[in-house]
Amino acid sequence: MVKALAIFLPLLGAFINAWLPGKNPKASRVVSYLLLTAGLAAVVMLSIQLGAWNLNDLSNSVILSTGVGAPPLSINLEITAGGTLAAIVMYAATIFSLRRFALTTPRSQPLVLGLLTASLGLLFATDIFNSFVFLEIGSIVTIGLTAACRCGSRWEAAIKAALVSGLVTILYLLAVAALYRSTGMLTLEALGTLTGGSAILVAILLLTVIVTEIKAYPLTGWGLDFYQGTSSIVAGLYSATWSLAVLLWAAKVLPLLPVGNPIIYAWIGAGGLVLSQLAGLRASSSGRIMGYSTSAYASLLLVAAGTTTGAFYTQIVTVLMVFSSLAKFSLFMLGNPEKKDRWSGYGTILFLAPVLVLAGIPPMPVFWAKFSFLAHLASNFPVIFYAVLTGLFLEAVYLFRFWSARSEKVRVERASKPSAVAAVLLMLTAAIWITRMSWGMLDFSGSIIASDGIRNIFHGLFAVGTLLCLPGVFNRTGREKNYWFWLLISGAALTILPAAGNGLTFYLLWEISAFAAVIGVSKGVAAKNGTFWYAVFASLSGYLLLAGILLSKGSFVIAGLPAILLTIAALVKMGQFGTHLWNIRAYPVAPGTMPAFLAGTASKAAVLLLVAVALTTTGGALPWGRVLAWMGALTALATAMLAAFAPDYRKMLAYASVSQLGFVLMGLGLASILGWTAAFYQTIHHLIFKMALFLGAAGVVYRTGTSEFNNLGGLVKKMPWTFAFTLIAVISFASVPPLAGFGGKWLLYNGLVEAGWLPVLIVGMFASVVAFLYSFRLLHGVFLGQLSPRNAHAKEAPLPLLIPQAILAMAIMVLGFKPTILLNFLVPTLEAIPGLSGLAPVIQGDMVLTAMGTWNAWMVGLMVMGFFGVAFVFFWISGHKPKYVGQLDLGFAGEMPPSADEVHYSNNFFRPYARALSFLPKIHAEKIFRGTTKTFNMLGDGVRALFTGDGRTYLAHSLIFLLLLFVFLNGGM
Amino acid sequence: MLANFTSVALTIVGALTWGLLLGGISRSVTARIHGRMGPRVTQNFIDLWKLFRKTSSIHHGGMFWMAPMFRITGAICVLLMVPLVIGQNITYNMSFAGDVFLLIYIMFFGCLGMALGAGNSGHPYAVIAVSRGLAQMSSYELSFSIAVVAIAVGLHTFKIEGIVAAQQAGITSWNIFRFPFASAGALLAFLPMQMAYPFGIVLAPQEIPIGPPTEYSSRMLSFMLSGRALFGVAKLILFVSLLFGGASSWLSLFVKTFLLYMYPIVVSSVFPRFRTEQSIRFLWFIPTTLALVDLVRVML
Amino acid sequence: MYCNQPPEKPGNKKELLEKITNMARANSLWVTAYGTGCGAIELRPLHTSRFDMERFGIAMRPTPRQADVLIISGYLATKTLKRVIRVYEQMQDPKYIVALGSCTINGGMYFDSYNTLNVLDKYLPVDVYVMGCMPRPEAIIDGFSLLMQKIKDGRAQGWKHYKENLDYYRENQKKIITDWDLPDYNW
Repeated sequence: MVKALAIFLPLLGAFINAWLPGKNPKASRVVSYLLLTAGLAAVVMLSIQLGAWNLNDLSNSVILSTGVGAPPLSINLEITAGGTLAAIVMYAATIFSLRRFALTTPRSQPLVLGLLTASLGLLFATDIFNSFVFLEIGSIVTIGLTAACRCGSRWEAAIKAALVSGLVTILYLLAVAALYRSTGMLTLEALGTLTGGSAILVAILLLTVIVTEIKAYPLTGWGLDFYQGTSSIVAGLYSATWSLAVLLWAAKVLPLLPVGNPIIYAWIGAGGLVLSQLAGLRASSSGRIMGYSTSAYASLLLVAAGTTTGAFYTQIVTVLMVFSSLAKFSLFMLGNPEKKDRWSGYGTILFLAPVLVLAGIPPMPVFWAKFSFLAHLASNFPVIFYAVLTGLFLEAVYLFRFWSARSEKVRVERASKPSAVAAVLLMLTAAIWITRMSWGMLDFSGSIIASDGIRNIFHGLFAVGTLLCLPGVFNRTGREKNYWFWLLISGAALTILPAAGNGLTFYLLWEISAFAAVIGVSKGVAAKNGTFWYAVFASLSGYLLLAGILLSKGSFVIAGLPAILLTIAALVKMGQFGTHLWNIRAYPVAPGTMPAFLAGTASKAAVLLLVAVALTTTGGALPWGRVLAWMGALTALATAMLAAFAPDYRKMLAYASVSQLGFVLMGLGLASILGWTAAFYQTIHHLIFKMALFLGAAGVVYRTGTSEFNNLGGLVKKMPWTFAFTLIAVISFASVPPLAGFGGKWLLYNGLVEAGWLPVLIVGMFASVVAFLYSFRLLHGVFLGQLSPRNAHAKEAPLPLLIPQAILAMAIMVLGFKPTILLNFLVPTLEAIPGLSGLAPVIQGDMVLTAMGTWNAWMVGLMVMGFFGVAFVFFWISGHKPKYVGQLDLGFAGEMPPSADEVHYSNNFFRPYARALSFLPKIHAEKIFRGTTKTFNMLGDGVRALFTGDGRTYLAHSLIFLLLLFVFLNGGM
Repeated sequence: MLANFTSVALTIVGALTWGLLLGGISRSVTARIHGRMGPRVTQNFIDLWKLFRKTSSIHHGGMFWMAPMFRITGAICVLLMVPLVIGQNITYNMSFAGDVFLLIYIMFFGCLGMALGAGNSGHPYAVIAVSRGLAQMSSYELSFSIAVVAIAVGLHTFKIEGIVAAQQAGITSWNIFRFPFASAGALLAFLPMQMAYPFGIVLAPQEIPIGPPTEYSSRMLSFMLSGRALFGVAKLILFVSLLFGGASSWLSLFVKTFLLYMYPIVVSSVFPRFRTEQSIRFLWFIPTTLALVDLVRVML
Repeated sequence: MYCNQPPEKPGNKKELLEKITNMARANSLWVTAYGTGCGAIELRPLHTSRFDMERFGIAMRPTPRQADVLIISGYLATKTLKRVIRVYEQMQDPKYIVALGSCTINGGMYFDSYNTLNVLDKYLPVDVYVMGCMPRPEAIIDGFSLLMQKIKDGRAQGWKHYKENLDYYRENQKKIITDWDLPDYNW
């Protein structure tokens, strides 16, 4: 009895607070804090003392009986480990938010404590009538808290909550009466003993009550309006205490309901998840977004109740609900600022951590539960699995939109700062704890890439790529200051990536690297839109990867659908075939050397994934290799043409990056030794030249502050070294001998001819010729032509940017003149892979021979450099010294050009080419994606038409839901 | 070794002479078509010498300075990658070092250098011309590469010697008869390659004063012109090797290159100029379609 | 932005190589395509099959950077002088000026015009005057052959004279061009 009372210490606080005169708010606050701390300690100690506290098994439970006789006379409590965890979160949330309540509405403190009491009661109740009592208390307190302000929208929210709770009360009491009448008991277990008509009646009534209370679709409406209408502090407290209690109570009741086959929960949940998240896409206010997110978690609860049982069910549900509620609490603390108080720097992180938790991104606590849950679904309920995955992806989309829209101007109310920090710290602690617990699921023993050689290539690429980006992160100010940290994390995760031994490890590292990079991009100035697109496509590829991994039971071994999903994940990551939209948005806005890292290094993760899929499915050959090659070729061509017309330096480089990765795809698709040699050669070469180009671009942007072609030009006079390195990189990717780029093309063309894929070859060759268009545009637009007076102050890029470029340019030269250094390593490595067909190129000294072609890079290099040197020396010693004239000294019909800007040809470059192209139907990837977005928005609009904002509609929804359940369950049974 | 160096040196000198001479002849021929006398056949040598000996010149920066060297290096490299006379191994020069793919790509070396020089000159017309030139080049390279691939795959070799060797069984074994469509495509691509009308949009003296080299003068211009002469001869030899059975003797080399050189001259004399987009579209459709016919034939 | 150094003064070269080069220069005259006055209309027939100046190696160049000869075709208005000076100075050495018609010699029928130069020699170094109003194409060809002869003999040194006496020429030019906004040096 005494022990049970310990749980209700907050109630005491509530009474004391109500009695204490309002004149002395400080005293009442102190009392509240003391009681809350004592209550928290009491709950934890009680749990430990009873033996319920066991973090390794959250379903571990102990019954605490408080009196004699059966319920409702005595209150029996079930103390569980998960419940204790939830109680800690509830107490924490109340403690964190109490100060703000005290500051804004001091008189609402009793209500706050009352809400906590009700939540704790509901959390531990084992008895259906006691639950009813707490349910009523909670509802009334919520209404009171919300209405305390008595302003329009809050009043409305309170009324809607009151309406719904009225209906819930009626239905619930009916169910209780029916239960008592047929069984004579009121414990939750009694539900399982029901049979016949009363079972159906109770099931229908209670299910409607639960779906309404947890706000699962389609009965979400009132919840949305409530979250939107009430103040952020009330919403935050509500979601971390009452909402959490209701969810966990529902989790306790759902498996006991006599509905026959519980799979019906899963169907309601899965369908509701997709539909509600569709509607969520259209949400704009933070309250509504949280509402939709709540709905998503409620639906997940239903799915879990329908598909899992026992300890597994409890574990998953507890972790999902507890941490998502905590995340929502901290978002509410930050999301709806009332007083403006700029808090940059940590603000982004504070804001991002809860979003990552809600989206289930590793290594956040929710991820582990989601992963296990989805793994279970994937192997047992594939259709539900796809539905859930779709819903979760949609949720990630609007959450990231929310984040990217807010992250630029996070304003945190002073009173919320400590609570937000504390909540995030709590989540991070939990993340570390759960990750440590789940450590055993990770596997680094044997890599999924069986070939040591290939693995070492990728280890090396990632490590070198990351290291070369690091010197250039110096001297950043403002937002950009801390991006190096995320770059480092992303690079570190990538460097370990090839060693991943199972799907989970691979996925974990992939997501860490992707989202660390997303945060890095978000540090850019005006990076809002770019960050959002990157985050969406990163989640898309992440979810595809997850689906692929889970469907193949955690490994990569099963061909067919999982392998296709994994391939698509890699394509999205690479930006191939229409998904380049994120590349061209994220790269131009990413800070400093971040785009160099993304384009040069991070994109190789996709190549690694493709290689892994190919190696583990068929040992090399992908059955859809031809499709892949065509995709690569068409992407290479289309993006090369788009690059020629890009108005922005970094955007052009982004297009060019995608275009050049197309050649990698063509090589991989070939599945012959030649093709793979070409693909690996091109991968390495892509890293080298793309990093050099983007580092050069970083220097240009650093010195001039712009990357638009219309504001650049003539910088060769100011930045000769940057120009020299860029020139080397450009000549190389234009595949002009004797630099490195030609080798990749030559190997690829030989491979394509060997396979007889001549149309692919032609498209590829065309794409590589179109590359000349943008390569010249790139050099001219930035470095050649007239130096604009705007950039007269520009200087050479700083050394930390130049030195990596010099190293990369050196690598291009070495690889160009002596490709055999690389080929001597690559060819034997790839020959050892059994799945690859075709003949290997023969290397004799400097000579590379294939069945039809020959290539001696060393001789070609000597010849080119030799004749260039001879011409140079001849010109030099012939005694003719041309006189340097100013940039405006042009043969200009006797006129003097008025200004540099007027004689610099930059705008509408390649206009005739655009005119010549005009016969093509404009199938822009942009348009397709806009169409897709529009369709989704329309669907979302359709779905959310249900939520009219009228309380009576919501009542009608509940009643219609009840009727439908009746028809369905009655028919089913 | 010494013989090889001698051969390389003689090839360059010979090609330069032949190229300049062909240029002079072409000016005469054009003049006769116009009903004029025309200059001496040696006029190009005189022009070149005059330019070489002019006493002053200007430059606009490093790339401007180096572009003529790029141009001439690119031309020499293409020249040396093609065997001259079949059967005389000494005239194969550097052709062992690469195949047709290398040749196609190394042809860009000079173009790229020239484009960079033009860009560095800061003259808007030079850059407009380069943008036109690149747009056109990317278009004719399509049909040219299809033709080359069709021929190379059809003959099962990428090596130029191999392609020439496969055409030695009489005149009917020439690729122009064995691959008529591919040859037609390649020959149509040859016109813009030689900057002949109706494709002469790059050096359009009427609206963009002679295009990329508009700021070049004196000795730099003489380097440019020698580069162009060398590159012209290299392309002639390449086309003779690809389509017209190569040269089995010095005489046939000169005759074939001379006749092939006359083809763009004659076409050029009677046509007005395309607009850039017309040129691009023509090159995308007509020659490419022709070349594709043979590619499909080879694939089947 | 523009040139800011005076031109280097050329030295004298009297060698065999120079003689051969002079032959080449004489036989490869590239003319700036720039008509300053009404006489430009008499240049067109020179391209045609009837007169065909290409047989002397004379060709038109669209840019002064590559040209050797500047033809002042008839009267030279004071406004045009500025452009002509810049075009002339942008041409590379050695370079020559051929002046057509009476107007360039003494003003011709515009001798008392307020905006026409009377004596061209004071502003630019003319190598060959071709008289007439207007000179017929035959006369122009005659003038060119005279220029060619002067070049061969090494006497066409107007460009050298101009560089050596730049101050004198500038002074005269600035008297005419009151709103002088050219850079001081145009090389």
